[in-house]
Amino acid sequence: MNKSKDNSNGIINSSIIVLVLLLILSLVILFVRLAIQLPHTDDTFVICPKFDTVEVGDNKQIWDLDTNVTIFKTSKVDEYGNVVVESIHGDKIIAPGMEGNYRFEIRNSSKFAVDTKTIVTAQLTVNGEVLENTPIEVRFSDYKGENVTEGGWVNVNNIGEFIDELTIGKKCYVFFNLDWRWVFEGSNDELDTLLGNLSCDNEVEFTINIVSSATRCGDKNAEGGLPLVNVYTPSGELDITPLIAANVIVLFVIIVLLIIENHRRKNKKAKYKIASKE
Amino acid sequence: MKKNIMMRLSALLLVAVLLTTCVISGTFAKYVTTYSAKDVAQVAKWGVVVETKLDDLFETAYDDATGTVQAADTYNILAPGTTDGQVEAFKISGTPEVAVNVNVDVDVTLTNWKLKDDSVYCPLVISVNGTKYQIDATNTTTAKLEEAVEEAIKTALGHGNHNAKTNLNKTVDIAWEWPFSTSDANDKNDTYLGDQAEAGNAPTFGLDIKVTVTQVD
Repeated sequence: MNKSKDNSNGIINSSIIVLVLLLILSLVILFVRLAIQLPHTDDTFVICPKFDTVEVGDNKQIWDLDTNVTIFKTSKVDEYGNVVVESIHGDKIIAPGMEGNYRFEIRNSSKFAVDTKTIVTAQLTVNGEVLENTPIEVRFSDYKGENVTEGGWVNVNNIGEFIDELTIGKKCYVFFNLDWRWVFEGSNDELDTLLGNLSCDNEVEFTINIVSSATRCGDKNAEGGLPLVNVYTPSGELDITPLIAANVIVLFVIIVLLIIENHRRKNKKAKYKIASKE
Repeated sequence: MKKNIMMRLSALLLVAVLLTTCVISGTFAKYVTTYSAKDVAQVAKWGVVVETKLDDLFETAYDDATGTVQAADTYNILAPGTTDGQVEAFKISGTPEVAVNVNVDVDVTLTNWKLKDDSVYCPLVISVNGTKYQIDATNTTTAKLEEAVEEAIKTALGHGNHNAKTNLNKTVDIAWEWPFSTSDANDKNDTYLGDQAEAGNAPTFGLDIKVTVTQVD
């Protein structure tokens, strides 16, 4: 009798210890997960950026928030080596006859498909105010070669913002090409000259902004994109799914044990009652 | 009693773990990753200015040592002893951030500067930025004199292609002179030209300058 009492106490005590440990672990994970959802800026404390398994970047750098990238250059050299466009102060510069291309990728190295939304805005401003008449054109296309901008090249007057939504499968990536140009021949020479003269005494700037966001897809096995060749799994990455599965299994076992224990006690009480009646 | 407390504690912990597990699962659905990038370029400066005062190169009347030379009508005239000129007859300024082509189109015309025997007689001395050009051993004809003056003006204004960030500041001072009574023979020749003017065959000196600055690709 004492031995069975000890056994039942042991099961309950063990269950309590395991439940306490599971609770502590779950609370820690919950805290980390909530902290990661905070905006990633220089002023915000980030617990572990390695949990970000969706990356956006080009061939030189991975993006963060408000990353400065190289879409424009500070000069243009012709085929003979002559410098045909160059900034006096070393700024990035744009002029008739210049064009460029910027390629960036969204890489999903997680175990879940993600839905992405990419927004590109292009504006010509004079002292911060948007100029509605500009000679610059852009073309935005995705990894399938399809133009997001209808008809290919579009003047930034007509559409100041381009949006593309794609699903990227697990361990896959997509890429985009952003082309821009300021046509030399066949454009409006008067407008070009006006902008060039304005630039002497004003801040006349052409700005391109790109924002890419990713959320977990409802169907984690959804397909889309191109397969990643070398999937980088940062050390220290914690896959939560097995932990949740383990939680459920352990809880199930404990519930069964508690039910068995409860049933055994009821039987004991019944035996005592019968014994006392006798 | 102790067992009841332990059972209750177990049940409480069970509920707590179930709840936190559910909340963790829920945070996955709200996980959003956002990245952004930007770049800015300045529009290349132009700022090229071309100015001219060429209209002030000739007059309808001059005051010289012999008195006043006056045109009979409202046309510009030349005569022995007259001189005029214009500082900064043409001026280009600016430092564009693009390569440019400066095209200086100059047309100097010297007509009817010949004598009765068809030999060339043009006593004018034309100076471009202080350098004098006239009929001499180098410029033996009016055509050669025209060409020499045209080339001088083109050079002075930077005719040709220039790389980006080149300071285009250039000016050209143009002046002319018809020397007075350099010799008896020239006096006779000057008189002959004057008679030709009376007869409707007046020698003329024309100067037409057009400057265009264009970006090159």
